Amino acid sequence: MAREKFKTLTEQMFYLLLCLHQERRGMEILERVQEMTGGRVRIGSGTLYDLLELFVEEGMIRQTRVEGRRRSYLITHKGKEMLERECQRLRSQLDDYDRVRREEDKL
Amino acid sequence: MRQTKRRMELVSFYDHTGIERHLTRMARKGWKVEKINNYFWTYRRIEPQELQVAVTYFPKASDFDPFPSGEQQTLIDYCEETGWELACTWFQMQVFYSERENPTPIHTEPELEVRIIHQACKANYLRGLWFVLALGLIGSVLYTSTWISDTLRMLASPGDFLVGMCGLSLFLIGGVELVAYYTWRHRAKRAAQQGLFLDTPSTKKFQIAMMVLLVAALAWWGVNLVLAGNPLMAWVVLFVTVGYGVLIALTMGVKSLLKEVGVSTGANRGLTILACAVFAFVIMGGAVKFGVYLATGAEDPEDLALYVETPLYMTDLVGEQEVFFSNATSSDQSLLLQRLKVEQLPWGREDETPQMTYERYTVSVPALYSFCVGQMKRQMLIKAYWDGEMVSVDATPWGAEEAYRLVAKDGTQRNMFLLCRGNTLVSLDMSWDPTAEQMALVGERLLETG
Repeated sequence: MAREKFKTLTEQMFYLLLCLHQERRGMEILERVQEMTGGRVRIGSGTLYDLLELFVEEGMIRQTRVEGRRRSYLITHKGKEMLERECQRLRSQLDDYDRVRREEDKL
Repeated sequence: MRQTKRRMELVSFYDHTGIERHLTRMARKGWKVEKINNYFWTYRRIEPQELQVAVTYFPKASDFDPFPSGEQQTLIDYCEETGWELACTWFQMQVFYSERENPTPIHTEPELEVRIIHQACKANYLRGLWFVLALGLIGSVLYTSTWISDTLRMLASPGDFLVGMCGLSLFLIGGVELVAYYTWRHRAKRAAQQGLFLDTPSTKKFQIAMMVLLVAALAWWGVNLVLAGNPLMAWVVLFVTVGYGVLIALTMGVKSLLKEVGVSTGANRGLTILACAVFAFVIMGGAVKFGVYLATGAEDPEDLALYVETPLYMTDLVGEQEVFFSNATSSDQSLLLQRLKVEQLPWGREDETPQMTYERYTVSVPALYSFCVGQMKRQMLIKAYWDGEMVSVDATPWGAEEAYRLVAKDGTQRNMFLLCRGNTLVSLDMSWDPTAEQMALVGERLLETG
């Protein structure tokens, strides 16, 4: 599957997991991601559906409530770990960037 | 002014970008798709407008679903909330329209989209293509080998030609579609790793070419059937064709009715298949019987005397024998050639009892004559495994204009002859050396077709 089974996360995966620290329904996720990113990141409705299904399958999120066709989701411990790993990776990337730029500026 | 129209659309199931472009153009012209089935796309008239179109796939869907499942409905709800209105579904495909100027695309993650398309294609489309390819491969091998070994028979038999062309087309369609799909998937996966979407390829021009080829073969067959074929067969074919149309309409009607009533997917699939089998039996059987009745007045096809007159029997040449000779005949006729093949073999005997096979072609188009003589010689050599050559011999004893005999590489004269007179060609394979009297009788019976 994509990203070698979540070795890394795409932006859309990242923000979807991030906003599920709080229980949310599908449409609320779309709104929240736009809000969090100032509209920079937009998740398509099909992608949202597929990602939710994929993350549930992988145990990264779980379904908390089903009201008719409305389902709510929450991140799991495994999902939090994945998100944390991705943050560490991004931080390392940024650190590398800063360090290299500093070294090059000194030259 | 009509409010709906139907079109046959030549598109690949997974070619969502091509379908989106096409439906956007149709919306500009004032047509919006509202229903798709295996044969036609139904459009409803709308005000010509700029609509956004998105074609997506739901792998778990089936064409027998009474209505979208809870899961599919959840996806449809998400799409509606983001401005995409569902127009119709077809198997795993879903067509959405949006009136918004810049709606968020339904798929924003290319890797996921490639994955979903592949899952949807695996459900029906790819399986169907592999089946078509296998069927086409068998048909093409048989067709090509017949063309090589029995070219004249193909020219004399429009039915064999049509079946062969169908096999070849199936093979090409299956092969080209599969190659196009897997090539796209490979490239799309690579592009997706860079976060890019790759447009699906269009095979429309190829599909049109295949359609033209098939229609041409069908037209050739139809023209031959009407002008040179057996009238009985023409009636039967006419009724079977009409029956086939009725069968499709009835089967699709049953499926739609069961969907509307809300019968479960499995039950709908089972009942539709059952209905199709029953309709096929009743309608096709009825069509054949009615066609036969109209053509001949016979109430039962078994009453028909499908007898082909045999111009020459073994007993004419060798007199009555202790054994009974089989008389297997087959004949074909086209606007180019008329063919009759007769095999007369002794029943249940493998001794020295004489036997013969002859094949007679009557060439209707003089320009083809030389070609046919060449092909007859080649076909006779193929039957002899290329052991020898066709040598010109005295044609007088046969009453022919030209005569050839197969002489093996070791110099043995085989009793395989090619006789030509007027527009008639006869290949003759005998198990004994014919006498002058027998030769004269052969020429008299087989070369005089008038």
